[in-house]
Amino acid sequence: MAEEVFLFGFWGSPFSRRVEMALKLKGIEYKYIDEDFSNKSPSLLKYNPIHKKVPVFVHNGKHLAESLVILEYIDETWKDHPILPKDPYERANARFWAKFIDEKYLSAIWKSCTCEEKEREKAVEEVSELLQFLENELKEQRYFGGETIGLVDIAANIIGYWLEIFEEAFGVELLRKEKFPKLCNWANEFVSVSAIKENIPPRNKLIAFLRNRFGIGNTRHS
Amino acid sequence: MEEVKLLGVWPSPYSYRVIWALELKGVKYEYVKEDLANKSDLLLRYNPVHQKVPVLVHNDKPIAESTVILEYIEETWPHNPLLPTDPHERALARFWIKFLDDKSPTLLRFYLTVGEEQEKATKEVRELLKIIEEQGLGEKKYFGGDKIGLADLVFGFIPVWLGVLEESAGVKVMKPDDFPRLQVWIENFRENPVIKANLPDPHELLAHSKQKREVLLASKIA
Repeated sequence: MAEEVFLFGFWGSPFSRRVEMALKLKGIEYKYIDEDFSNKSPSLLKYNPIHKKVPVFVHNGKHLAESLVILEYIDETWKDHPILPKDPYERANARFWAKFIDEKYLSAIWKSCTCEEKEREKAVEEVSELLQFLENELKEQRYFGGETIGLVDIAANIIGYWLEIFEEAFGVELLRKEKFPKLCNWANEFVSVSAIKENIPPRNKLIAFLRNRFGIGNTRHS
Repeated sequence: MEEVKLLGVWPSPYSYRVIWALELKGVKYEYVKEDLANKSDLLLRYNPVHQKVPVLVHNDKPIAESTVILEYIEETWPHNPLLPTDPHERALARFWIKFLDDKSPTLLRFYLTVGEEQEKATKEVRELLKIIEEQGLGEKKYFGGDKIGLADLVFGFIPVWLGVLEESAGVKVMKPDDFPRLQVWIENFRENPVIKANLPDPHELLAHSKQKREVLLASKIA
């Protein structure tokens, strides 16, 4: 039976890229539609009337929104290369960290990059505390998922790739190698995996996009 | 031998979700009452990241975050399933669970405000309820389909807490003729024998809710 898989995404979004990473890891064929936010397509508005956001995933005519919900669906539907462990306790642990990353990291990183100068030190410290949790959680593993990429690694794509882009675009230092050696190592391993490497937005294009979109004129660090 | 402990706080909807899930599945557990003003060593040890309740401890292994706990309970005690078998339906249940939790500021705002701000907040929560009724519940008897599921336990905020918050805030969010389908669901939910046997005392809940509002409003003015 021919599967029909569509993904509405945005090339720069870590959230829609997460879905692409999972699809690539599992070798699933799909059609990708890039959305222009200033002009959302009728299909997007039809498929995600509630949030009007990407990613929106469509499988055999049935649509889903919310990247982590989509990832769980993909894992349940296509059993090759599982991204969640089998053991219920380990699954709970993976879900806990994926949820934590989703709720805290992007907004904290964003804040540290775009806040007023007088608030920066505190904002950067908050990001540091968050990064420390993940540094500890990695322990001696290659990936958060153990020997292979899992749900938490994919959810942490924000830290694996986008973080460095934010640092460069806004001139803020967040992920110091001396302080977070394991996390830095993990980030390098993460982006070398082919399913991930093929699904990260081009660096310079993303930096330019961030700078243009959010009006970075003045430099903060020389 | 199984050892299940639940660290919770009265009258938190998040703790009750877990209580309901355990009770619906007939899982024996020990309830440990936490005092958030004076957190126990046990809580700090079991949930170092958030230091919040609920925390489920199963054979000395802790799980935090109510929605993560609910999925763990479902996977560990699969009898009396609380999630559909079809992956798309499961994904929709997860979507709506996340939806309600993400919208919790909107759900609570009318209770935390006065005057014009409260008017605006009341309008917003009514719009939310409309979406929940039309798109979340739709034509189904329960959010979970034919029978109560995890999504119903999360939406249980509406039958159990919303009315109490309305009374404390002196505002009617759901008038008698409003949201007819949601009202039917509310009745069905409250009539479920397990839910009925595990509800917070309404008088105590109201007294607590009124007092809390006074404290919160006073601290805003200060």
